[in-house]
Amino acid sequence: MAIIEIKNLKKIFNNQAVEVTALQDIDIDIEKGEIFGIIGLSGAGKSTLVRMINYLEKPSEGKVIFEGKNLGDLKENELRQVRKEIGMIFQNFNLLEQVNVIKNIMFPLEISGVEKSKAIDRARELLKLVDLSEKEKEYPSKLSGGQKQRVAIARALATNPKVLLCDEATSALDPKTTKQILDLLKKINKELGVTVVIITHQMSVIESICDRVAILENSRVAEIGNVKEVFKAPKSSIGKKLIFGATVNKEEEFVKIDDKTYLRLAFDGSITDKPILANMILKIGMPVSIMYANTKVIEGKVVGQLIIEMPNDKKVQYQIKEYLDENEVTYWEVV
Amino acid sequence: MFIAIDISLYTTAIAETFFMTFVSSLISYLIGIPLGVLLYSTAKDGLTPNAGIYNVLSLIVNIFRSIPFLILLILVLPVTKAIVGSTIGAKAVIPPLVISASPYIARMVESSLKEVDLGVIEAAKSMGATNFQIIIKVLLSESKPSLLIGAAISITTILGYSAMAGAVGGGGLGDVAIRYGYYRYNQDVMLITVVLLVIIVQILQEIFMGIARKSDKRL
Repeated sequence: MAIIEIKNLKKIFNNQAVEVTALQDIDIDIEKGEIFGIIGLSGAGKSTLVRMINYLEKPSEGKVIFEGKNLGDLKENELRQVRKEIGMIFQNFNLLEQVNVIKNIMFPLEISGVEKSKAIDRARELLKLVDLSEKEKEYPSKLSGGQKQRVAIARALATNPKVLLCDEATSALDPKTTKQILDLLKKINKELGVTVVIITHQMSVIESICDRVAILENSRVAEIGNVKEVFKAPKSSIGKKLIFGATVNKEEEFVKIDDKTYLRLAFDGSITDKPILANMILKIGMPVSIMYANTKVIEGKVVGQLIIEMPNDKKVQYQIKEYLDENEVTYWEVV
Repeated sequence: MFIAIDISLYTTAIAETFFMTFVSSLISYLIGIPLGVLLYSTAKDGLTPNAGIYNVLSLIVNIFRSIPFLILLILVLPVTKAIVGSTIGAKAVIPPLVISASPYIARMVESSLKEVDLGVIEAAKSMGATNFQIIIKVLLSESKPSLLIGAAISITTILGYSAMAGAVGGGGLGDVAIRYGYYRYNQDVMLITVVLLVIIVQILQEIFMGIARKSDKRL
């Protein structure tokens, strides 16, 4: 059973008598133990969505079910108990600035009435986990962004939550620090079995650690699926735009300039170790130009996108497609 | 010459001034902090927005803040009489000082609390904190340096007001300045009391700003 079930969720904001639909028809099941990514451009409603998972935002319609409990049915104090099982970290870290690192981590324990000596022990344990033991007495203002986020992660884990919500947790960090934080999140997921939900606008975050992804656009889920499959062949236009980036537009310009045909080849990791393209060229006896190439390692497997320019000869074009079919390479013509 | 006046006149006056200022400040803060928290909490982006309560409180606070202190001092004489049992002396100045300072402090507290990052409050909510826990452990704790700066301003203002109470026989340095300096045309006494007030304000201001700076862990 899914740990979080989002059913037919809708959120409408009333901005001075004008109704704005932030989210609608959202149906997502998040499985226990997975790393689930939610991506979208700014304004797609992803921050609102993550806040409805712990009911910081109340949905206008629909349900959020956490471990079989419909959060909408809970009383305020019951909801607070549920929130202790759902940790959350933020883009701006949101640490208490006037207390030191260890007291920040002890905060959720303190408000849960945990004995002080036990809270200190637990906080030290967490500091070790996030590799910040030597910063115990420092104040947040003395820490770097990455260190602050690690303190925030330790704090979010203090009450042993089953889920960790990450709202643009790496957006304020540089690429190197982002990687460290993502590695830490992955470690927490693997070692502690915490289900992680990641909200981001960075495709690189999704591909580096998520198992599944939901792509939001215009307040709806445009696409949802296994990260490897979505990256191999995104179905929605927003998915293509996010994954292939600006190249999509460039291809469209190519087509307008001349009548050439372009083919996009998608590799799913099982065949990239064979020299597919070289063999193809040998077989058809004609060179092809590579217009765009991009391969990435996802979960230890190589996944790639390749755009080739098709020769004008229709017969050769047929041969190429035949060859690709034989080798089970997914391809489609670039419009 | 001012030497003709017993030095104990000044020491008694200083003691009275301190007494009035500190007792009034203390009581005003006991009223002002909860009132400020209530204003903050019921405001539009507060913890429990309630336009009705906010508007009523806000109006009351504004009314008391717009009455000139000297007028208020006279207006509340019956209240003073009922509470203190007398309308003259340092003690009698405390009720009007409290009535005047509490709404002022409430606004100072409200504005200090507003400086606390909403993200931190949201984080506390995400951890399952109650509103009361958020007020004590997040809002008041995080705004401590700002509250202390507010206290420096409020307490020196109360001190200034307490001097005004001299006009109705309230005791303290203001009383000395009016009775000996103004009514008896003794300019030296006037000058000394003013200088003493300036020094006291300066010291208080420095002490509080120093504590505020030292307590701020963001620096």
